Amino acid sequence: MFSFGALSFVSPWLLLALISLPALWWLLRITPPAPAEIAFPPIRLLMKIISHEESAARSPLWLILLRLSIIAAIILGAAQPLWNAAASLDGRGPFVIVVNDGWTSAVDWPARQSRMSSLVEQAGREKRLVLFVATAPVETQGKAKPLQLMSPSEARKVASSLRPKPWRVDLTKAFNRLNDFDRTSIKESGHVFWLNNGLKTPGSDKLLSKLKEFGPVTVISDELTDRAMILQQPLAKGNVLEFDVVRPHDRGSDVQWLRAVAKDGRLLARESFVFSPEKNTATISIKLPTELRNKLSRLELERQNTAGSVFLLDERWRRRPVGLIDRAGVVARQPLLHELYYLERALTPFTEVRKESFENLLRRELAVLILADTGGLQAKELEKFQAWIKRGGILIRFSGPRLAADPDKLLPVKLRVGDRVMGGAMSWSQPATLKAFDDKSPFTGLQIPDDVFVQRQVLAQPALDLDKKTWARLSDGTPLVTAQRQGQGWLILIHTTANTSWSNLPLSGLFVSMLRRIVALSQGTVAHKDGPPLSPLRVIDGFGKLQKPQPHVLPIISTEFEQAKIGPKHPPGFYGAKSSRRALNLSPTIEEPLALEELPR
Amino acid sequence: MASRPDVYHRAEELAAGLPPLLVSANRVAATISQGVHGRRRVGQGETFWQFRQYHPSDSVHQIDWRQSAKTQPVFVRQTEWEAAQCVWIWRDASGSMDYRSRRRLPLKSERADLLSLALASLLIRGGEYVALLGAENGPATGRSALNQMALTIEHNQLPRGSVPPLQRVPRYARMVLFSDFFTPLEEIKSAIEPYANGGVRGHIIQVLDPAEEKLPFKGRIRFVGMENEGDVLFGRVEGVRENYGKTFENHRAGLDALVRTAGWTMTAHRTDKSPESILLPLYLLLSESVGH
Repeated sequence: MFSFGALSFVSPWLLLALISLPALWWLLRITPPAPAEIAFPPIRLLMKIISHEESAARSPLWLILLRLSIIAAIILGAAQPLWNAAASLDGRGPFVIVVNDGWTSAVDWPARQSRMSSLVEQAGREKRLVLFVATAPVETQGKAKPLQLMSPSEARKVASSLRPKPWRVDLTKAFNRLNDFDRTSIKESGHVFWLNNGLKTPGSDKLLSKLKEFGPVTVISDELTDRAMILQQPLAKGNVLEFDVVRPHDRGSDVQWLRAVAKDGRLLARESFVFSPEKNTATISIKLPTELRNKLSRLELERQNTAGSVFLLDERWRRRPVGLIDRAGVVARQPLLHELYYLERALTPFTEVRKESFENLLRRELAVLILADTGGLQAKELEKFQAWIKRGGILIRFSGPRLAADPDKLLPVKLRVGDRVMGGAMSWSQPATLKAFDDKSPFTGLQIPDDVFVQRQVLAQPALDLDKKTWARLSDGTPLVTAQRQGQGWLILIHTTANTSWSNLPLSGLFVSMLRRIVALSQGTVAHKDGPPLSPLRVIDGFGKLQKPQPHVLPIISTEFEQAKIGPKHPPGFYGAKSSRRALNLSPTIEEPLALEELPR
Repeated sequence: MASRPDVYHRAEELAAGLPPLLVSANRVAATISQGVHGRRRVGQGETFWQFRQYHPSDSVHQIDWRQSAKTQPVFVRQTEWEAAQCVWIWRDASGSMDYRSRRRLPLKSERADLLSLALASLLIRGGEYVALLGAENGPATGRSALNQMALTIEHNQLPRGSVPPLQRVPRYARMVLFSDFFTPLEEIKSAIEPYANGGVRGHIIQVLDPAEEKLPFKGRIRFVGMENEGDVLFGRVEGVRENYGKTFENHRAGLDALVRTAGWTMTAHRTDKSPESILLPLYLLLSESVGH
């Protein structure tokens, strides 16, 4: 190769053609340029003019220079100039190109890809074979394809078709594949290039030691500041969504933008946040009106384009509007005795509570309606409630002296008139505790604190289907929560009060958890063991864009959804039915990113 | 280029801006037929003009008996003379008229067509008779005549010479000629003279493209004629621009002198000017107020 400093040529002999330029100059100078032809009506007048300047016609100097420079550029181009062409490497063995194509690589994918192709081209110039290893796992039918040496042209195809994956790299697997590779075909020492993402990944030391067996290793890492950030799982605090963004370094302050996007792609909010110097975490909070927040479908970091910078939100993140029916005339002089006070305190953290009359509440969308101790509902009111439940609403009723005295029709079970007192001054029995929730109840899995006691309750008439309708029981087996499906909604009765007069349940954390489960019911997100597997709806590709799932993406069993391992079989995305989709996100499964310590070069 | 049918509408639009044109008839001529507007003198017509005392030479039929019964003398009722003038229009349809130096300018032929039709429309609304020189139809008036004229122009059915064709035109008619008049002066002279000698009064409108006046080209250019006149090569057109300007002025002066000798008038019009700018002087020339 022939070179001037950083510039070198693949076919330098073509530069000899530059000698012909002076000859061209001379030729261009002596030939007058072709005249422009213009049609002109008063030509007869022109014919009368005798021109004296005919001989002076010459191409202008700038035109000659332009033509010469065009020809010079063509000659230089034909000689295939290379800027900063890598000096040819020692050894005649193959190039081993190891590419980390996990989710972090999407940040600077074009740069990575051009790096790959320049390496492959260099291999082509030096006529060496290429061993190409992508470290992210891919979906393989049966056993993974063993590694193979390829010609540079094949490797170019592989490199250009490589796309970042929306999951993590698996260096152990890459190590195993390299271990299985039969090295007897390689006679001479080659050269290893590892296009790393600069993050500490389990198995990197092992892989590095393996790579050294193939020849000298060059590790090519991204700039520290260009590495991928992670958008952590949001926390719903009241009507504010709060979440952390983690960057893999703590150098300098940095302003980034976050976008909140609706299901139909509308931008709902765009917030900036700042990484303060010496900190690798920034906290953002987004406050959105409930109607807009319920439309929220994804959060994404701008200019990141990775699967880890996108967080998909499903029904779990929605704040459901809950209506507390405030029956006119009940003035809370002593708020601590008022039932709505306890309900409001329990519901506010995870729902939007509206305290109004029934008519006013129904004017807006509502998920759950709570009716504290009321009895003797009028037929007209009953109809309104029933119609609302049938359309998919959830009505929670609490018992109390009024309901006990005058039970009406709007109940999941038939009630005995009057209430039952346990542990009173006139009773032998002790206040009852709660029995563990069974599997069919939506409360299943909730921990029952020891100090929750129920002193009074209303009693259900024994019936054949009572057992089915019961969601929670007292230790003696009498129902505490009963529910009945009506149309698309639920009618739920809590057999005790919402204030502390009959039970200390409203003071416990269990009360909040139970309400949370019931509110979650309204979104249809309760997992049933026998529910259908959640099939993929839309999955995220390596650049954080939602795509139609590939055929090899498998459904997830609903109960195992939380534990699903993100990989080629289950890429992050939306799973389940269209009406109740669930989001599988990459970022909760990623541990804190740590910069890789210096590797030997 | 505007489509040809469009020319008719644009011409009508243009003509709508001016009142109907009344061509003065300075002299009585046999060719003048009866028309709709009065000539402010006694003659044949329907509108009352004046009562005059009876002369023995008058016909008895002319006596207005009602007026005569009121007073002593016998009166003759006279009407105003109503007559129309006939205007012959010719526009150059030769190849050299299909020229424009810039895209946004109209072709010279387009402008000539537009002006002839606009003029014809004005004349017809004034009640005059209009004819196309070289066309088969004789002078006619009315909307149908205008339509017919527009059709003839649109289909270009007229002789395509660079000078007006020779045709029998009645004495004392008016003539309006649109062309670039770049043909040698002798040819123009021989085309115009017979009409001038026959008592026809004419107006010449020289329709020019701005480039033809200024020669704004630069560098090495081969100019090609549009009617097979041949070509001329110039190494530097800038160098001959001044010379060309002089030649152009000479030609125009020669043309002007020629027209004056015939007792006609000449006006130059450039296509980068609005058509209204020439229609108004033309209107004034043709109407009565400008007397020769």
